[in-house]
Amino acid sequence: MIRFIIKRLLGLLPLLLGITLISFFVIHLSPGEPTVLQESMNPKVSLEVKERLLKLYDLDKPIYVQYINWLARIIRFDFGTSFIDGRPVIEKIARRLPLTLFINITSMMLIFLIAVPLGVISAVKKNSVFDRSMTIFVFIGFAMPTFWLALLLMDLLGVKLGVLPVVGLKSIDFEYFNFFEKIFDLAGHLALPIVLSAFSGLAGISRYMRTSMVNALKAPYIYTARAKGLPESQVIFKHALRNAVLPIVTILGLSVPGLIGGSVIFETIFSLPGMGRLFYEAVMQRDYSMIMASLVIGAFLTLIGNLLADISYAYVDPRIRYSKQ
Amino acid sequence: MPVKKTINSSILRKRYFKKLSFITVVFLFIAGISLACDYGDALINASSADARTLVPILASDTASSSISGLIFNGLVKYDKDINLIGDLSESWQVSSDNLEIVFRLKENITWHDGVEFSAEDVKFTYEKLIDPEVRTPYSGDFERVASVEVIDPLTLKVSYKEPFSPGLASWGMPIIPKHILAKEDLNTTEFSRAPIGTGPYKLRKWVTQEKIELVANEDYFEGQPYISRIITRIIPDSDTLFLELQTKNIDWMGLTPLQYNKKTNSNFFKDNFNKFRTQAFQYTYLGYNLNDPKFKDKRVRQALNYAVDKQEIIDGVLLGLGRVCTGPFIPESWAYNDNVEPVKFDPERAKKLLKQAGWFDSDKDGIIDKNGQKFEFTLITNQGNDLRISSAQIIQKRLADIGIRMKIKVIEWSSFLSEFIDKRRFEAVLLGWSLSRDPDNFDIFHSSKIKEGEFNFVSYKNPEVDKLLIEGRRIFIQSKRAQIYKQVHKMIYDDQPYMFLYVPDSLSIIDNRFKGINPAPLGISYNLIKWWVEKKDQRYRNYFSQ
Repeated sequence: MIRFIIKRLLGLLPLLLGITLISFFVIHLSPGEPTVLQESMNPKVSLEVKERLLKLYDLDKPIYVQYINWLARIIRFDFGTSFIDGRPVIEKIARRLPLTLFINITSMMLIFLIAVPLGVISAVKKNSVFDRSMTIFVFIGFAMPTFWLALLLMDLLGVKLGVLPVVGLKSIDFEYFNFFEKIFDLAGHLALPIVLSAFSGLAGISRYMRTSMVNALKAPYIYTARAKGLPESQVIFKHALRNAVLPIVTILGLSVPGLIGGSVIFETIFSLPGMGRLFYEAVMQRDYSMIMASLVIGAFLTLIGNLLADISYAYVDPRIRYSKQ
Repeated sequence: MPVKKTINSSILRKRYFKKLSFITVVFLFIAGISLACDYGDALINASSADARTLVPILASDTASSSISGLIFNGLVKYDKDINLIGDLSESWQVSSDNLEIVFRLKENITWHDGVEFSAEDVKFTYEKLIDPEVRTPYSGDFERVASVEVIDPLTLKVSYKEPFSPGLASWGMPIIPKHILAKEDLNTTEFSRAPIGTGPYKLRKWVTQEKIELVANEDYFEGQPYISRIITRIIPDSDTLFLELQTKNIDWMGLTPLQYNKKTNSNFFKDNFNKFRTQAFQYTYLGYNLNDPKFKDKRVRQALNYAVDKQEIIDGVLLGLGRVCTGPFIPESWAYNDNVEPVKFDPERAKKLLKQAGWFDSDKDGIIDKNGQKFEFTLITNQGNDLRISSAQIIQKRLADIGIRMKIKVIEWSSFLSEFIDKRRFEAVLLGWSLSRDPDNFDIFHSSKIKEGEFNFVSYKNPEVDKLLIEGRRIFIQSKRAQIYKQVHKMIYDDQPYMFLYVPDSLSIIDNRFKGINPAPLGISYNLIKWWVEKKDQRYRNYFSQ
C-alpha cells in the first residue's frame, strides 16, 4: 500500500510540471497586460513610464526566461509577489482561504446530510410521489440561476422583512460585540450564501446516490439478504447502502480541489472576500504571479484529491485493495 | 476646538450651569445653535473594489486614490471653485522666467505619529517619484523638474528644465513621510497597509476585501473633522449595493441615471436620503482612427457629427442627466469656450457633406459608397460600461439612416487597451476621458504623442493646435492660458478628431443625517471634514484613540 502511494506521488511530479508549463504559456500569450501598467488610461502615465514598469516586472524578457525564473522560485515555494499591490501572493491567498474553505465545507456537509438520505429514500421508494417531487425539487435547485434567486431572497429577507443582513461577512460594529453576538452575526451573514450554494448542489449528489442505491438494491446479495429473512432496515442500511456509498466516496475525493475554489458570482453578490473573486480579479488584471499561484495550488489539490479518492476507495472496498497487492 | 466641545458636552454644561450668569447662558445658547456642529458618528460608503496600496505615489486605482486622499495631503489642492490653493503649502511664488516655483510651507503640521512635517519630506517624495526602481505611474510630470532644493525646513525651491505650468498642479501629489520610508523599498513596504500621513483621517483598520476604516485625526491642521469614522465597505455588485442602501447600512453611494431618476423616488428615500447632482469631470466621445482613409477627410467627420443627435443619446442613455459635449473641456473649466456651439442634428446636411466628399449610394443598396467601396466600419468599446454600449447602439441607428453601416464590438478592458488601442488596430472607438482640473491636453492631442502606447491614439495632427498646446504649458497666468485653450477648444471641435458626445452628471445619494454638504463646481466631497451629524441622529459609536 505504501509503495503504491509513493509510486503515485512520484508520478504526479511530471504531470504537475506539464500543467505549469502549459498554463504559464497560455496565460502569457493571452492578449492584454497587467492593468497596473495601464490603469484607466491616465494620460499622466507616459509611455516611458510604462516601459520602465514593464522592465521592473521582468515582462520585457523572453517568455521562456520568465518561465525558468518562475520555476526556480516555485521550487523554493516562493510564489512571488502580486503585480497589483506588491504583496506576497501566499499572504493574499491566506487571507482569503479560510472563508472559502468554511463556506465550501459547511455547504458540502449540508449537501451530504440532505442529499444522501434523499437519494436513499428516493431509491427505496422509486417512482413514488416523494421520489418524483424530490427529483423536481433538486433539479429546480440545479437549474435556477442562483444569482437571481440570491437577489430575490436578499430583497425579501434583508430589505422587506429585515430578518437577515444583506451582504458582507460582519456588521459594522462587529468588533464591539460579545462572543455570542459575534457568532450570531456571522451565522446571519453566512446563512443565505451557504444555504443557497447547498441548494444548487443537491441535485448532483442526490441523483448519484439514488442511482447507485437503485443498482445496489437490484444486486443478487440483496435477494439473498431478503431471502434469509433480514429486516428491511438491515437490508437497506447495512447491505445496500454500504455498497451504494462507494461512488460517493470518489466524488468526495474529487471535490477536494473545489473546496478552495470559490464562486465568483456568489462572492460578488454577497460581497464575500473569497478565493473566487481573488482569482477572477487576478485574471482580469493579468496579475500573472497570482494567477499562476492559484493554478498551481489548484492543480496540486486536484491531483492529491484524485489520489485520496483512489486510496480511500481502496480502503473502503477490500476487493480493490487485494487486487492491487 | 475646546469651546465647541464644552458646549456639546451635556455633563459639563450641567455642572457649570449654576455658576454662569444669565447673559453667558444666552450667549452660549446662541453659539450652540449657530456654531456648534456635533462631533461623532461614522460615514459608511462603498467601493466596488478593494484598495490596492495606500502608498499614494504608487496608487493608480480609484479606491486607493480616494482613500489615500483622506490620509495624505499635497502641497496644493483645488478649492470648491476649482482654483488652486495651498494645502501643505502656505503660498508659492513663480519666478519671472517661469522656471522656478518657491513653496512656503505651513507651520506646525505634524505626521500622524507626531513627527513634524518639513520640506525634506517633499524632497524625499520627489526623489521617490523619479527613482527608476519605484513602480510609480506618476513620474512623467516630475521628470521635467531640474532640481528640488530645501532652502529651510519650511521653504522649498523647485526648478524646471523649461517652463511647465501644469507642473504646479502636479504638486497636489500626496507627500509621504521621509522619517518612516527613507530605508524602505516602496514597492513592497508594509507602509502600503499601514500608512502615516498628514491628512484629516488616519487608517485604523483594513480588512482585506471587506472594509477600510479611517478615524478622524484630532490634530489635523485644518481642524478635527466632525465625523469620527469613515468606513469604506467593499461591495462589488451594484445591485446588492443598492439593496444595502435600502437597509441603511450604506450612507453614501453613486447612482446610475436610472437609480437617480426612477428608483429613488419613493417616500422611503425622500425621508431618509438627499440626492446630489453635480458635474463629473469627464466626457464620452467617439474617436476616429485618422489614419483610416475613410476618416481622413474632415468633411466626413463633420458629416457624422451632424448625423448623430447627442441630445437623443443623453435623453435615452443618461435619462437627461448630462450635457452635450462640445470639445475637450467641460463647461465648469476655465478653459471652456462658450462660443463653441454644438452643431444641430441635421441628417440632410450630413448627406450633403458626404456627397461633397464623394460618398453617395451609387448602387442603390442603401449603403453609401465611394470608388466601389462601401462605407462600413467597426466601432469598438470596452466591456462593462453599459452606457457606452447603449450610446453605440443609438449611433449605429443614426448612421444607418444616412447609409453608413457600423458594427459594434465589445472587448474586455485589458486586451482592448493593449491589442486594439495601443496598437491602433481600430477604425473607430467609443471611450471617455476623465479630466484633470488643469486643462493641459498635450498628451491627448499633440502630434508628437502618436507613437504606439501613447494617448493620441487617433493620430490627430494639427500644427496650429500643436503650437498652442506647447504655449499653454509655458504660461502660468490663468487668464492668458484660458485664451489659448479656448482657441484649442474651437479648433478641435472644428477638426472633429472625436465626435464629442456627452458630459455626464455625477449622481450621488447621501443619508440625510449628514449636514454641511454644500455642492460646488468641484463636487461635494471637498469639504468632507466639515460634514457633521447632530448628536440625536448619530447612528454609530465614536472611536476614541485614547
